[in-house]
Amino acid sequence: MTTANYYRAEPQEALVMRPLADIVLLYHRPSGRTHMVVSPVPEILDALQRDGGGTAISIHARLARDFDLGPPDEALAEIAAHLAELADLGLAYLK
Amino acid sequence: MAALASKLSDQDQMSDQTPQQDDDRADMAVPSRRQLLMGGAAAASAIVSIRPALANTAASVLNCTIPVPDPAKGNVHINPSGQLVPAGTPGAFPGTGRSFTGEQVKQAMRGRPLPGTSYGQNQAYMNYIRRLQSGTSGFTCYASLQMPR
Amino acid sequence: MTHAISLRIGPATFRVGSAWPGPLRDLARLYADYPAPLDAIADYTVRLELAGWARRWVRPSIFITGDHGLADAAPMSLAHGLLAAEMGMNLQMALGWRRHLLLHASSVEKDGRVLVMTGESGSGKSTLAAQLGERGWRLMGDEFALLDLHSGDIFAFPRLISLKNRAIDVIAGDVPASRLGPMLRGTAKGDIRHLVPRADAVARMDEGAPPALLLFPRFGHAVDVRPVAQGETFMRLTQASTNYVALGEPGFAALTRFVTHVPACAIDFPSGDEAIALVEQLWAEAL
Repeated sequence: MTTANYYRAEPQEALVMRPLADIVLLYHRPSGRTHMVVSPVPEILDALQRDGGGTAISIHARLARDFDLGPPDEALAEIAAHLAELADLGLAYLK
Repeated sequence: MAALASKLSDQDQMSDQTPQQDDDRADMAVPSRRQLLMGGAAAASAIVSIRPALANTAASVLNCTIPVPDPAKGNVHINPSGQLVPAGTPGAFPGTGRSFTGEQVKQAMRGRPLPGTSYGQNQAYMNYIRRLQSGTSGFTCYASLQMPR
Repeated sequence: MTHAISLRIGPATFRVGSAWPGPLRDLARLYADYPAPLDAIADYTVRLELAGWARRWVRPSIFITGDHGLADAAPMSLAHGLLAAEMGMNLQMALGWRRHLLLHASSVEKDGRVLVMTGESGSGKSTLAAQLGERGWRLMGDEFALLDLHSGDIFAFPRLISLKNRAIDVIAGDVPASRLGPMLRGTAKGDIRHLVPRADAVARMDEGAPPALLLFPRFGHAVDVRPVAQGETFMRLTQASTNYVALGEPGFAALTRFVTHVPACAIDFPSGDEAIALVEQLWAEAL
């Protein structure tokens, strides 16, 4: 996986997000699947949806405005890994 | 680790602060922005998916397994791989009985940490939840519990 | 089918057919005070068939089938016909019901609110529900709690309560014989005896009510109470539901609503009396 892979976001209406006290619940309408997620996944999904999509690099830039992400190289690798997992689950689309 | 920002950077965060958090901020020398990523370690999965039901076939009934109850007794903590361990075990996080108000959760979603939690704690909890999913949702070995073998 | 009986349990209706009359006589007696089905068409059919007559070396036994069948399920001995009929009905519900989110849980109601108790076999949820049902609570069910997809209320499925092993002695002494089924020895789960819910529980079986407390009981340990976080509760309830995934988004919405509105605790107890004391204490705190 590279940090330049572009992932397209799911449309807003495809995901139902419900925060519980300790985790976030996600219902993906197209697949009917339920996922339980914790940070940084909700934040990454939010960043993806704001731009309609993104790469690890663009998502990193967006998240860095609001969060402390640590050393950029490690952060980029982490975000890329999370994006790949989201794509595996059909919650984002690798173009 | 990169040096952490020492000044408040976000107008949104300023306006959302509660008096309690103003006090916290006065006590802390440090971070104004919440740490989002682990830093330095391989990304652990932050997603647990509810598995779909097996097809309602005889084979699925006979092959499903019955979950083992937790050994939880008294004060337990969760180790990073999600197993319950005695309280005080090094590297383990406080137990699962946490609850936060809806307001606290909303603020966490906007970038303020839930009180007392950390990235590692979240990961441990997710692994604990992952382990609870022994069978598949939608067909929980109900029939096999009832049917004699 | 030579013999058949129609039954209504909560919102579900069953037509139970049997190749021989024994099990149906028991059902008729024990379900005598239940309201008749409202219309002629049953939701589910259960059939008890005889297997093994053709082969001399196999003991004659019961083969359960119906709308939802499990072809490879092991046959049961003839003496356990009543149990087979009950299991057949449970199986139809577990595999086919879509009108509510089905939780493998017992439930009892008091003062217009519902206590839901979930756990595996042996956790004590059925026995505790039966005991509470004899102590001023309305029994709604010992096996399935029905979660309404629109209102979030719990609805009743008050089938005959399955008392197992030790629980039989605990409860059978306190209830009239007319409410007890035959002693069934040597089943896969030990000794079983069925208990008819009290008259008011049967009469009010169409009344739902909002849930107020969820408990994860665990029999056979020193007294302990632990709150259970919402994420863990949600996961455990998906595991305790036979139709969560099949229901799709309405199931998600209903379960999310339940978990965010209903506090949850794990309770351990060494005896029924201690369990009841814990329940009453936590109930008072929850309301």
